[in-house]
Amino acid sequence: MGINGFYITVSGIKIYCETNNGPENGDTIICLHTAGRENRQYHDMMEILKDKYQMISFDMPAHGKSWPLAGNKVINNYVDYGKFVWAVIEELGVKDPIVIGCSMGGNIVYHLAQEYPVKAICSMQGSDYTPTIDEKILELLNHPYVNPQHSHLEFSECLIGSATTQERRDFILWGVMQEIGITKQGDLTQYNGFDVREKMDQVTCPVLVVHGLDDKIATGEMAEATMSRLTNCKTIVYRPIEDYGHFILVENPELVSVYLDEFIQMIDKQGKVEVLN
Amino acid sequence: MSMVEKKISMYEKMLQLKEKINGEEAQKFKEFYNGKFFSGDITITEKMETVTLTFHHGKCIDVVEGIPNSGLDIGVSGSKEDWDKFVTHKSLSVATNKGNSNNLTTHGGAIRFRQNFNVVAQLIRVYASIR
Repeated sequence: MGINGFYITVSGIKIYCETNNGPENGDTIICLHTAGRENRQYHDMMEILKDKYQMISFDMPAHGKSWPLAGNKVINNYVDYGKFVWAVIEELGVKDPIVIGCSMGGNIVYHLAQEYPVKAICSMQGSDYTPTIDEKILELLNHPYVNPQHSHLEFSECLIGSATTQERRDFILWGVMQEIGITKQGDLTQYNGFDVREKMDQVTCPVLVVHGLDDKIATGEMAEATMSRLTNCKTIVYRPIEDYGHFILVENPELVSVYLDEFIQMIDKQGKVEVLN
Repeated sequence: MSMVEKKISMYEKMLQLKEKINGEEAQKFKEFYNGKFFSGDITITEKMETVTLTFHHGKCIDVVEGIPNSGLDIGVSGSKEDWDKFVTHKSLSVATNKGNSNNLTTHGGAIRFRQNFNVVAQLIRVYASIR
């Protein structure tokens, strides 16, 4: 295990980060976790790619081992989410980052590519428009009479792909049991309000889209609709994966790592228009 | 022997569901989906047929047609097409997701429903397997 944890302070908040201690003279990959969860989701990918890339994952405020915002508040809109991610990247001193994320992290990479100077992005189970969750469910995620760790179990369970091993399925569901109601509420509120369609033509960096097709909420159709709006992006690589689902980075980190490695090698060596399907 | 297939009523299907949820599915239903904490009624409506299953600590103790005299506790309803769609994914979360079509409709108090979401989700998942 070559992963080490450390803290940085961003906007006055203690943020927990992990690195795989990969080569410092190459690309640095910034890793964004899914809603309500934390950076352990990247352990397998960080191990697989440790000899090729420096990868840094971090827990967003109020997630995992990071502190919440002042007054025990959470981020609940994508503009603040994007600002915070970029502030972390600046504090880490990373230039030209390749930013990868899954689910809400797979959404926000599009916003980051619109607003900040990223080298490239990888969107896993992401979209530019995700108004999918009932507001009543969001409200009850932080209600004294409702236990989010139980009431929201099936929401994650149904998203896991059919080919996922039991061990990985268990880790995903353990993640539900560790969730904090107010944190999940903030994440899914920003996820529900995520709409960056109008600026998709401003994304010009290389984009890798990895999508587990066993996902009935963030669907392959949503990913494809999103890619269709990348009208000024010269390098789009789409890698759909059969029989795996929403937590693709945990469900099949081996294949995601292969696709990510191929993508980075391609943009580093060629930097030219290439669309794979 | 008649070659005409006998149409099984919703009530008869729910009697089968009772046997299954109290039998081979009982452990998973009570433990993993927290059915052991549920006492009350779950009403299921498909098309125009409504049946209510009554539970005590996760054991189904009664099946009645329609809504009990005491009123509706929690439940789900849908058209034949909605249930046909549900059978393809067997997830109540998917079937109540705003972005999807042919969703099921939930009934009862929102808090009570969320408290027992897993119980309902697993019950109708088993129902889908015998429907």
